[in-house]
Amino acid sequence: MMLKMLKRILFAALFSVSMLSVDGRAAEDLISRRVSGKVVATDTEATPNTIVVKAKTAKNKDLIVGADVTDKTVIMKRGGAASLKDIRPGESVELAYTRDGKVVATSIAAK
Amino acid sequence: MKNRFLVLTSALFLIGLGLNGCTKGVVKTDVTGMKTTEAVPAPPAEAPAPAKPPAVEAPPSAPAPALEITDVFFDFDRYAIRDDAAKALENDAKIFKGNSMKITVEGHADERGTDEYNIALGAKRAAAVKKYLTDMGVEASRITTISYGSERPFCKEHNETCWQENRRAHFMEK
Repeated sequence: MMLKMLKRILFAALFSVSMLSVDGRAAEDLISRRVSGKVVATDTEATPNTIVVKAKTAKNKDLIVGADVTDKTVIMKRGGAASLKDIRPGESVELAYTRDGKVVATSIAAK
Repeated sequence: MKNRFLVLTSALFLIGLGLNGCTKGVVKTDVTGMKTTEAVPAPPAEAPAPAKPPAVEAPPSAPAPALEITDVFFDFDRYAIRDDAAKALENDAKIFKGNSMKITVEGHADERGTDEYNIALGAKRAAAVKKYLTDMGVEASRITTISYGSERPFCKEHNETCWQENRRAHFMEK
């Protein structure tokens, strides 16, 4: 009798956990990525500012990354601090970004 | 007996918790609720009427406001029908049901990502719109879909305003 009760409780608990995990999957995980490529464009007039970089995937396909540039984005050029206005189209950069519903640049390093 | 009751109660409670959690993240695509008649507010109770103003006749042929087919827009990297898109599609469905035109739904994506990914995303957006319209009663045989990915942007600047413009499903009459 006791064992039967425990089985039922365990079943109910597992069912609930599985339902909650379905819900949990709906929330997108924060993805952090880093790409190297050439700057296609920057927009310092837009709010938020943006940068677009053309990189290559592992399969050598073109990958366009467009990211918001915020106050927290660390921008470096030739080893020194810089601003987005210092980054020009055609320059090679390494862009680190996060993706969580929107793409936000965490760092931009121009060579 | 008492134990059994407690077990059943706790099990039902846990199941309830689970179902509640499950519904939070569900993408709203079922439109059956939207097809129901809109709630019409009850006419206000008549107050004692003051002296009636002279009757003014409406212009004889005031045209009804024209319905316009509206594109629908999507969130970044998503093909779920947003609330604003659902409203637009309700309007679009009314128009499509009022005639027999054949429609192509074009799925578009912003420039970000790879070409292949954007083609697939555009296809999913177009398919989501087709499904929504068919759920609203538009015949599936009248709707075809095509994806242009990021090949045919509506706006060519590189910022969020423009990217949002390009994440759309656009209608073309065949």
